[in-house]
Amino acid sequence: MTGEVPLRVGLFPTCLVDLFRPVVGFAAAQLLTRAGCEVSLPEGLTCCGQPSYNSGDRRSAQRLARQVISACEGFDYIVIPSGSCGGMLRHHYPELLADDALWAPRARQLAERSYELLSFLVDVLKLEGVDTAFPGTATYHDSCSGLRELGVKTQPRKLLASVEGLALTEMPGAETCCGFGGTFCVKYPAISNRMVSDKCTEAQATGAKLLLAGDLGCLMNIAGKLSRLGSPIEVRHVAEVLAGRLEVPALCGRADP
Amino acid sequence: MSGGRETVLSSLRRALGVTGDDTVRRAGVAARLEGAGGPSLALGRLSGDAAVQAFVTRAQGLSASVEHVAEIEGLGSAAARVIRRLGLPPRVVMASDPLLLRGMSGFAVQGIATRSGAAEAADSVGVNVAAAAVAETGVVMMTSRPETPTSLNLLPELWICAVPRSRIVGSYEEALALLRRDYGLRLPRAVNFIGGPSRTGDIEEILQLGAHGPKTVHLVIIDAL
Amino acid sequence: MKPQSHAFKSESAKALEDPALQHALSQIQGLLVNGRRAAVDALPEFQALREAGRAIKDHTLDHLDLYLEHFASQVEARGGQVHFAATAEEACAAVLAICRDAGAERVIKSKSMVTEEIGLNAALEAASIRPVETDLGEYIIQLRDEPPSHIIAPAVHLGRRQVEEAFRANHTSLPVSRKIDEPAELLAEARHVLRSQFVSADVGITGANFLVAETGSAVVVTNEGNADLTMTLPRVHIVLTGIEKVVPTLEDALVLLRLLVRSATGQSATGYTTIASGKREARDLDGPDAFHVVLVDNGRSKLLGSRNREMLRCIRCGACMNHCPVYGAVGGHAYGWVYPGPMGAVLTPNFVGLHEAKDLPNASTFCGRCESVCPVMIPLPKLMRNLREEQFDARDVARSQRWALGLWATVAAHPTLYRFASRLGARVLARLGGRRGKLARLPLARGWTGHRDLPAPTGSTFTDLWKGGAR
Repeated sequence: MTGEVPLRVGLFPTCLVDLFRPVVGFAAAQLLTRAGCEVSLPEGLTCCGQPSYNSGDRRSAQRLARQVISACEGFDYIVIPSGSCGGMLRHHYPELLADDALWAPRARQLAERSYELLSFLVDVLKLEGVDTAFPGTATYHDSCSGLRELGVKTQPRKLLASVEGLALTEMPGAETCCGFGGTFCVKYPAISNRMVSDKCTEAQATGAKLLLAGDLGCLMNIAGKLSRLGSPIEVRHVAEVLAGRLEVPALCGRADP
Repeated sequence: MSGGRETVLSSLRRALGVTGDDTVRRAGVAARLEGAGGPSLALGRLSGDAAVQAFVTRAQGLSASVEHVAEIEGLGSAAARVIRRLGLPPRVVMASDPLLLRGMSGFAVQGIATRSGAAEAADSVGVNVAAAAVAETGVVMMTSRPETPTSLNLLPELWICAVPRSRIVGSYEEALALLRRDYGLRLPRAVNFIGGPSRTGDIEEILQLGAHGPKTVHLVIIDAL
Repeated sequence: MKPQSHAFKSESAKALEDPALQHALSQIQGLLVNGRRAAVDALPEFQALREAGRAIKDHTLDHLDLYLEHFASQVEARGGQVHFAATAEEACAAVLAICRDAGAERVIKSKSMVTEEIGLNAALEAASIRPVETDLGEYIIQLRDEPPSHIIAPAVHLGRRQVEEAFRANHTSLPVSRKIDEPAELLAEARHVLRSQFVSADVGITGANFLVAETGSAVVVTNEGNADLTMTLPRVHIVLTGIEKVVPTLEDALVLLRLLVRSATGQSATGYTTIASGKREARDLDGPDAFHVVLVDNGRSKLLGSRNREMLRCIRCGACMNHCPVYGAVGGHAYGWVYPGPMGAVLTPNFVGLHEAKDLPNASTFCGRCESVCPVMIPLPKLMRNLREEQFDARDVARSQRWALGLWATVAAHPTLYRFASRLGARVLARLGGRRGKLARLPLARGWTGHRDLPAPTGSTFTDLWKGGAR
């Protein structure tokens, strides 16, 4: 992109990354910057409103959607290191505000400019690979919203294939939900536990030493279970590996001190 | 029960927000009844030898056995072989379709007793003739005419079905077109598309043949017809 | 059928601890999911078919009153009778009246979820008519006096031992010495017993997968052939089904049929696909003397007028439950009524009330797999979310949950407050996580920490770090 005016990208870190794992935000920013974007953090972002939206509190969700829309105007693109928050902006905001004459067009405009990180890197920026290395085998969990709402499937694999030394061993049920589901995991803990246990069993069966995904919610769920099981598998957001940002210990799997 | 009818239809109209004149809706329905359907499938875009070949392969895939005979007279010996192989009594109940009546002599030659008419619970071999056969999936289309009663296809444990080669069509749409040509909108009481033997997976999801209907389905393609 | 959906949580807990059920569930999900995958992969036109199927259903639903009128007139034109039933009670009464008029004592049925929905068997038994189910799975659960746990594989939760027990307990003429512990022997026994039911029944009741308006026909698919016997041998054939099953033409039914079989079992064609159009013709040698169609509303018109109208496109293939990780974990009985899985999460509240079924639309991660496999593209997560909104607006949500969500939303709506709160949260949780970087217990978060650790935050928020110049 040398010589061209860089794309102005607003990074929406998501509330989970903001609170739990800032390194994912830095990794995302680094990937975007290296690909030639000018990255900044929109002012006044908090949460995309997904917890309210999926719990039936439409009014609160609309309120947060308007807040996000206002905060995100003035960028060429908004990029989000999460499929479910990305799905919120791309698909659900237009639906949430469809009956609002003032906000519906703004919601649609934001939807068109909003991308999940991996899909932005590959589909929009046409990134072919990354220049980094990670020795060892990894397995990839397809987060549901990213996969089914945004079609994120090949993009992370394409970039991971370019990571020197990294081999991907797939889980047969890579596309099966991990049981997170936002508030689902605390409202139906026993069912969620079954789902995440199955996911852990599959991950362990691959023999991979690292599990990756593109959504921090799923990652915390899987990591929390693997940690409880005492598994040595490390869990990281895919952006951390792609950007080579491994300075923060993995979400689990580090040896207990 | 006409009270029920009015209640249901008016709650539907309420739910749909229909008020007053619905000439336009009625016209829409009338027009729609003339056509529609969906995309045609590559599986069914077949004719001639290709259709016959696909029909045979797919019928076998549905666990039917298939053989060719040159003339309808060969049906009897084809039937005899299956009956002997399965160790069933040499008695068949068969359709009185003129086509099968022509083939009846072939049964007598083989020492097989024949009876025309509907099947009864005690009958172990039923013989019928298909109105059409569909290459798309390998099923045969049976119609419940007086000459081809439905029970023949359902009650006996061995079902032998004659399939005139010329009646093998590519798609279901073509089979429906034959129905429309022959019957208009007043279809025979039952039109059965049958694919192989009766089957069930209801015990531990294990596929088993011969649930309530035939345990064996033998299709005999009559090449000359 | 009396709903037990309020007990979803306790029933699902039991199901999770039932090893036989868990085994059965892993089987079905594997078989049917892989079967569907292969069938869909073999059909390049599948997506085009889905879109055509959706369009057919949407068009028909928009004109449902007119298509039903047309259907009824076609049935009547050839001597059949059509009964419209607004409620479950009316539908049962219509069937009872037909049976009574026919002097019927013996009734056989092929599998129909609508008859489960309206409680037809109980109504017939109350009138001293013992209906006999003829679909093998349905027959087994009838002997065991339990509801189906799957819409196309009603006895999927059972193993051969339980089937043998059911037969031994009910088949009085079965010698104790006879071995029936293999599936083939069990099937032979069932075939033998049910054959005598087929030939002696007075009335045969079937459902319908589709009703064809142009010809006044019912389309019924089975693999066992039991529906065909049910509609061929008895004197009276009753088709009982929901009003949403009608489509305009035979070709329309074909589109949906192609979708149905592939989505349900991964077959390209079921063993038997029958277009039933009435009673026997004058010279026919077999077939019933009378043909009745009972069209059941029972809440469908209400659904038509609701935000969840799209649910009426459902063709009852069961793909949504086969692919649902929640159904896969707890099975069908936990849902407490006729329709389990994602379809049930939308249908059951409509039929039995949202309060009774309040867990159902919530017991989903919105993973979206159901929608992605639905042959008529029903946006099931969206419809479940609509029901959650209805619950929220009706204040039928636990107070603690409402409070927590409200607090979260309020804080999130104030960015300055939010930054302060998240800064505090990151710091406190990080400290609680300690050197291990995880929390094994956390007050108010037992739902999470009961089963898993909580990875602890690293200490500062992304926003603070970014604004502080970190990259």
